[in-house]
Amino acid sequence: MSPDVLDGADHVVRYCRPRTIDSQGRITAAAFTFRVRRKREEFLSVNWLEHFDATTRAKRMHLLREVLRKKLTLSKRGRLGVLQIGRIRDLALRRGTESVRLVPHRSKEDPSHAGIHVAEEQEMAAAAILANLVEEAFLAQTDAATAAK
Amino acid sequence: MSSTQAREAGYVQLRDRWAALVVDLPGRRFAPADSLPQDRAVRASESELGRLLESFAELPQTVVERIETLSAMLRGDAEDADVVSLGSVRGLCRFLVSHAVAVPEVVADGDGQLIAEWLDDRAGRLSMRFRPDGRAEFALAGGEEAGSPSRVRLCGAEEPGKAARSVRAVTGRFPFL
Repeated sequence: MSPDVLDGADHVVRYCRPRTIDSQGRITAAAFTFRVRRKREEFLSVNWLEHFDATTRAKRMHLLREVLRKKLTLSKRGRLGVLQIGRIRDLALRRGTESVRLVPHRSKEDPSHAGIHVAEEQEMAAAAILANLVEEAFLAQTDAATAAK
Repeated sequence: MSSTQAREAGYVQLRDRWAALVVDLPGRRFAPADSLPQDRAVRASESELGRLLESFAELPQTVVERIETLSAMLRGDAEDADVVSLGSVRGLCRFLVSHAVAVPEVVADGDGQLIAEWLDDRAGRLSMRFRPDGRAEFALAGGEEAGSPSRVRLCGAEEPGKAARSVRAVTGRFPFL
């Protein structure tokens, strides 16, 4: 079971759809924007990577893909972006606001599920920063757990 | 096809979409009379997108192709908007043909709005989302001059040309050529 507060040294992973990946294969700010067409999404879905018990990050990503495949159609052109939790948390601390929060949203089907909550008026600035904070990107769909870059 | 006609033709409305009931009712064989309303809307929007892009003759071909690709990507993802926002496309195209800026990377949000993005080691990441109302939400973050990837140097919502000039005032030249 995931704790109520995730360790700052741990990481979360965001599935980034192909429309959010640029022509060089990089994750852009678009991967961290909210859909608002019907109703604004409550949070950006992410997964707590260290929930998966494995010796390497690549192996953890492999286990995460198995979980995500049950919920999403992972595209070959999509990416899984890795962000450190502490750096996300620092955004709010440095600004002295609650504008960016990381909250566990675990469920029976997906105990690693968490959400990045962003105040609406901060969305574009937060999206650009979150894209800057992606420390590693993996292919969303691969048999071999190979890093994309 | 109107809502009444769609119902009579055997379609049902699931949330905001029309779908065909694939069951044969006694005495009635399923025979769709026409394409689904949303398919027709998408086709109409695609041809409108084609006409819109043709109207910006000076637009780099890479950008035209990218917008067409994004339109197809949005259509292929059930979670996203069916079509790219034509107002957003118009805003981006107008901006690119009337300002001497570097050709950006173009991506899209889940509502079909286009986001232009420029990356520069010194100046950082500039993201501009083109809204259908003609304004752009923008943020300039990170880069060597900011000293930290999580430092926002400038953000707001403006007419796109004004937004780019505000960014140039902070960076010196970027994103202008």
